Amino acid sequence: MKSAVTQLNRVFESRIRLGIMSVLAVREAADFTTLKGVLEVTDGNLASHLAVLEKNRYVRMRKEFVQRKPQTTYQLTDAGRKAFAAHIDALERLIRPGR
Amino acid sequence: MNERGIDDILAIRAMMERASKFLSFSGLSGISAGIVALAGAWVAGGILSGASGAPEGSVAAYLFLDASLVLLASLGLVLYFSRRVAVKKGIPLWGSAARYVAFALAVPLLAGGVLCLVLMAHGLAWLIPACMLLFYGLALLNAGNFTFGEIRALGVIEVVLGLLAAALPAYGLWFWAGGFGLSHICYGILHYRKYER
Repeated sequence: MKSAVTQLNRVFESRIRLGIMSVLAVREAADFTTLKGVLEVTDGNLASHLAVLEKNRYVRMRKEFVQRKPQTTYQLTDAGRKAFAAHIDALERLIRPGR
Repeated sequence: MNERGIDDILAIRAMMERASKFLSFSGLSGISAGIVALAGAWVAGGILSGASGAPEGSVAAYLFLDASLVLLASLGLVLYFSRRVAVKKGIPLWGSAARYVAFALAVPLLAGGVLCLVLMAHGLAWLIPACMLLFYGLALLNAGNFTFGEIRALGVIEVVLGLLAAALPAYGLWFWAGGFGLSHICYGILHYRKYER
């Protein structure tokens, strides 16, 4: 049997990436400003962590025009949702071994 | 490693809550709206007792005007204080959580408002305070899912006061003042002390 520790997803080791995943898990999509406000991080910091999540295909970016202003929104991909759920399961097993 | 796991789960939980709930509500909204409601109830008491000098036939119109002014002033105050909190926290006021709250409130409130007008038209004006309290309480219960959970307790109190107002119509205005005035002020103070200090 694999130990819970090895099942933890390395991508989610960063608190900020964990936060992005948590926010996107409870709403359909969030724009950059919303994420920045909720997570209380700087533009550059947030952008680089979003880039990592995008590269892993856990998060999908969408650019659209709202009242002629460009707006970038982010949402979870199916793979991202699955990976995040698996990570939470692993965390849970870590806390309560023997389950 | 165990500690880290617990911390991570707590962080996930906090983020999910911050992202899915409307947290820009200020206790000052409750306090100020409560004071406005008490003033409105006092004016309504004057109109009903004839002290305002409202002509016999226009009592209903005066009361309607009074209620509308209370509603507008309260909405304005809630928006003003919520905006202040949102700016302070650096989160958008009109986010998706705010939209959920607005929709959860709007449907019961519109239904209740229309029912009040129907009651008025059928000469059942004595039921209006009860109707306002009941539908407002149910609206709060509904909205409580998308904001501070304590709002639901306030909703239950409003529903109970509404039922009492229906059972004891002679004291309708008193229950109304208790529900929209006193309860709001008490809730506002509790909220302010718990979340804004």
